[in-house]
Amino acid sequence: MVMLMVGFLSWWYTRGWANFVQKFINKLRGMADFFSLGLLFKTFFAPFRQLDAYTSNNASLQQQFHEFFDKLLSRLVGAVVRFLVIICGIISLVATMIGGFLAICIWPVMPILPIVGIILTMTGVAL
Amino acid sequence: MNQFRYYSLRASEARFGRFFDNKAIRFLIWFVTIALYGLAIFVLWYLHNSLGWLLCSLAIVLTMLMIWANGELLHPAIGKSDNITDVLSRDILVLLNRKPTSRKLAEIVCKTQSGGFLAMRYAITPTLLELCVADLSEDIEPIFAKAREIQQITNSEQIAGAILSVAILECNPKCETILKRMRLTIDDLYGGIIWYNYLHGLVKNMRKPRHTGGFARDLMFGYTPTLQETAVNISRMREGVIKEQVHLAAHDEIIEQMIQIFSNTGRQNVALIGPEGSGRATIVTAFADKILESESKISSQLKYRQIFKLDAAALIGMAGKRGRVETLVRDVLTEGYMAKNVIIWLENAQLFFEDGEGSVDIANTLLPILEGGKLRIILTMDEQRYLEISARNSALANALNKIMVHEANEEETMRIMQDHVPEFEYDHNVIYTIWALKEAYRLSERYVHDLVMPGRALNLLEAAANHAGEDKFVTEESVQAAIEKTYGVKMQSTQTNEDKERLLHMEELIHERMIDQEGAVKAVSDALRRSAAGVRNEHRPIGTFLFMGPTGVGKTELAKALSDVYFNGEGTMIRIDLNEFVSPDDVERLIEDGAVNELSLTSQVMKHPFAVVLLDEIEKAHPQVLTTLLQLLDEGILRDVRNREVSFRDTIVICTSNAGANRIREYIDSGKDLAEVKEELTNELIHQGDFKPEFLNRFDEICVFKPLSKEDLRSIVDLIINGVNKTLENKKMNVVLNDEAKDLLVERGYDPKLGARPMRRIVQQTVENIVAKAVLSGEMNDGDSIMINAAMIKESLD
Repeated sequence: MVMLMVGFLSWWYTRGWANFVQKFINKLRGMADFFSLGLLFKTFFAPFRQLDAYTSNNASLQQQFHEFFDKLLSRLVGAVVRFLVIICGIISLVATMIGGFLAICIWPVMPILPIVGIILTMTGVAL
Repeated sequence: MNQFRYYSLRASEARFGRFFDNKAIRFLIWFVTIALYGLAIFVLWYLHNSLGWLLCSLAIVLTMLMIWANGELLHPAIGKSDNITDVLSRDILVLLNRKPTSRKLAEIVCKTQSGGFLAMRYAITPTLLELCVADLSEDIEPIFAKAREIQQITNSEQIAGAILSVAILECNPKCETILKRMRLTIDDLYGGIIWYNYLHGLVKNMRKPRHTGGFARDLMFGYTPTLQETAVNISRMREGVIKEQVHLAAHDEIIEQMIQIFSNTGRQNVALIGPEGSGRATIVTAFADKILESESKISSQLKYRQIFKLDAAALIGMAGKRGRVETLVRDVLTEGYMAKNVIIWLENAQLFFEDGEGSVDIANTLLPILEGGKLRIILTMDEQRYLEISARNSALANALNKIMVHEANEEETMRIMQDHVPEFEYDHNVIYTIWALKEAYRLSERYVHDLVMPGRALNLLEAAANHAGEDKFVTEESVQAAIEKTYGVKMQSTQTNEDKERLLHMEELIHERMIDQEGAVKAVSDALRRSAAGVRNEHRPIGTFLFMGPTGVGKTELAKALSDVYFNGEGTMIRIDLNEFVSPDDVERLIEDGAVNELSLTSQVMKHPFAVVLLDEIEKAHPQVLTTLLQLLDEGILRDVRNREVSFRDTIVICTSNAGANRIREYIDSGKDLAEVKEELTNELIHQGDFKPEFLNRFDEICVFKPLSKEDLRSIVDLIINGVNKTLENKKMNVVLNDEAKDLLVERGYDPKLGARPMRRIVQQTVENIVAKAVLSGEMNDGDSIMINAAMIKESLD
């Protein structure tokens, strides 16, 4: 039993903790990928769904002017949509980061918590 | 080092972890934990009681226990010491007792997942292992030492049940003999361990989520409504499934080449040229997977691009009228270009370059796109079609970036089959043995002609699942049944004692249906016995014989007799009269596609690979026809018009010739022995220009048939009468000829130039007519016998 306890504690403070951190990093990566954050930043001003992104050759000045404004509008719509998605993504990412960071901090003190709980019970501390 | 430590931390943890193997227990603990947390909050918050802390402590202990179980106890890492306990897999550690013996080890290895894998697929069963350890000492350390060696060879992370099974087998001094009996090698078993490790790795990877760009990935790319209707989005189908595995270094290189071509400026197309079944579609799928991966180190210009497989039939259907197809194609390609993330894949690209049923010629629309390089396109087709397109439209061929896809070799095909086995097993609820895989390779190589490796082996392997036994195992018999039922190839049954007896007494059996020609019969029988005993070269036909002699002396009869005797009546005789192949153009007719001419030599052998192939009157064939036959005689292979290899390696090839018939007669008349004059005769035929030496040299035996004597003809009369009696057998009637009648038949039926050929006609005119009249007049009834004498024969002849 003692051996198992020692085994548990040595795992908890070494591989266990490292694995937890690694899992947390993977989770963040997965979330960034899910919200396509990198891609959205890179293509922030790209035309939305390539709508009105076509540029014709040998067009008249008036037509070129029209195309320019159409494209500009498409880029603006794209930027707004991307901005909204980025905001949602960042909020989720920050929330996950806070939760994960707290868990990483609590991890080393967790084995002590049951002892603290027993002491608190014995001393009669209540909320 | 190789001493098992029962009380080591790793072994103790493994045994403790057994408790958590049960999913229900794990679920229960989590349930109790959550309930305890809830209760603790209730007690602390609403009851203001300090006992809540105790409940909370308990919940935390259970939480840590479950985290430990999931992180370490159920998946223990490899230990740091060099003791065997630190490298044994968890399932072995759980099952080993305090002082394990070799017998105990043999008992438990097959209970593990990897040991069970080897037991089911390689028949390394507990019974076999227990027999193996019966000869060994109780000491387990030599087995562990051997297991360490195997672990190194197979590059395994830990020593699992499969490695220990092989180690037990290898420690037995009779290992080689045991494996030989099982038709396995030690490398096969190492392959089995690697196969298990690979599948285990796949399952592990399945748990990892794939990163493919996320839901907002396609915001910057255009809509593709027409493409969605006329094409299949391969990339979309690949999302959420296991990544396509690339087993061939050559395929990996091709994918890298594709990435290079599509990442650079210039012509943005790739034409994958290779035979059907070589894995062209798999390469495109693996390429689709690679560019979908967020982690792939490829140009951002190529990452997350979607591959759309264009369907010629759907295009034609959607266009309604053929004339509108070009407009529709232009719309589809423009949509692809405008979307900015589309790669068009034309599978069976030839369908887009020819007008016909299910195909459409859009070469004129495609050519400027291919040359301009504005839209990325992948084309796949076989080499023959590529050559045809090149001949018709060289500009189109020049606009393509051609990459050749070659056929996989045996090792690669085996690995690809192993990769597909779990999929087939899941789909058909069966288990494949290693012998099924080997047989699928062997038989498909020989009898499946429409595809190349690995496609043909995979097709046969999947078809074999429908012929699994009641125990759900797919064995080599299942594969043989599949090739018979699915591909229509009649397999020869395995050699039984009866077959061996038949081969040993071949001469007697042949002489039951033909007279004389002892020399030829013996030469043929000897050659076939050698072949059946396994002495023959597997890469040639079973036997190749040239029968020379005058007409009507039994050449064809011997071929028929061989077909019956050697193939036990299961074989077919494929007969081709080469006097119909007298011009160079006739070569094509000989090797024509079965769909065009089902009687061509190649198409008949494709359907009946176990047959006697009789090529009659070869001296009359055009020399180019004989040149075509050289590879057949030499390597047992003939390529048909579609360049498919047709195997003649399970056939007996017999060529007959009347050339030199007069010389044979002269030799016989001058009293020479045929065996002595064979060489002289062959040389004469070469000098006369009847045959080329390289043609004659390719035969296993040249058999010279002597003209039949009157005595021989008398025996032939007996054979023919036996035949008549056999026909009358169901009426229980019997025909008997006295000696005078037989003499008269021989006298009238003998023609030195035509041999025994007129005899059958004479018997028909006389004996059969007499019997017919007797039956019709009521003189002869069921069960009666009729005696025919010379006078009756004479009367019917006059």
